[in-house]
Amino acid sequence: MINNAIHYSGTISSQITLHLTDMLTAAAHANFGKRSDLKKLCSIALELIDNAQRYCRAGGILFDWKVEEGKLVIQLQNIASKEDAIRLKESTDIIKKMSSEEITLAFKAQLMDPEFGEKGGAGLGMLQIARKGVDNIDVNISPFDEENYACNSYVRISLS
Amino acid sequence: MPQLKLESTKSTPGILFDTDSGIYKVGGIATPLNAYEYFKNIADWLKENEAQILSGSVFKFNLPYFNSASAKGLMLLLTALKAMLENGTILEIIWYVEPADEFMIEAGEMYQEILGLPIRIEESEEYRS
Repeated sequence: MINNAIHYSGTISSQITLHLTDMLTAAAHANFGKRSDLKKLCSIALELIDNAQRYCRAGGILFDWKVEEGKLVIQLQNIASKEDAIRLKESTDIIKKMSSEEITLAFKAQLMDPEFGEKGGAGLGMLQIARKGVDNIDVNISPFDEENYACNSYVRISLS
Repeated sequence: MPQLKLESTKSTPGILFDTDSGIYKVGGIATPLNAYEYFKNIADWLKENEAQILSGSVFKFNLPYFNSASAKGLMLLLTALKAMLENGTILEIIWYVEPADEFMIEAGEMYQEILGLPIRIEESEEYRS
């Protein structure tokens, strides 16, 4: 089986996001055919890209979409402010410890909270990804310079 | 009579709210970076023109995909519709989805549950913008 992978390294903008969305949709159709959860798989990648576009501070992003041993692996690297990176890491670590019921409740509570973040985020991205039944979700961060951190977000999903 | 018309773009849905014809449609992909501003303006229009929206009006949503920020933005819009229902205006809300589209069916059901809105989820092959 040919696995249609996507590897993108470069700047991030609304235009790039739109092109990546088209590429993702095409690759997902080519890889997986007709599945009722195709949109769910694409949405996970799109939430990561949306996060990167919203919080990317310097340089570009590195985005990977590939199928490995029956699993979809999505990875995204970007540079964010120290504050945003730590918030992303801490919130993801909290989500990882939640049960699926707790994730659903947290998602609904956040959806009902009318407040948006300073950069227009809804605080829902990682919860949305987690509630879609992923096997692994992880965020690693490390200092990039005095003000910024490198963020590496990683999601793995079974394709059974 | 008041009308709100926004053409769809690759990242924002088209909006047609026309109090003359009684047509109220939201259709297209919603992935704007500033979802709050986009949906707040639409919700504000509904609140400002509530008196012109007659009982029996039908609000049709056809959103092939929206990101999580737009999910919260849609809450602003649907909350405005809920307020109208609570004020006595009888509205029909139809949530069109592609057949077997788990993502959008689940989204419609979540809004039904969270807001207690009588949203009718209808599977449709056709795009109804």
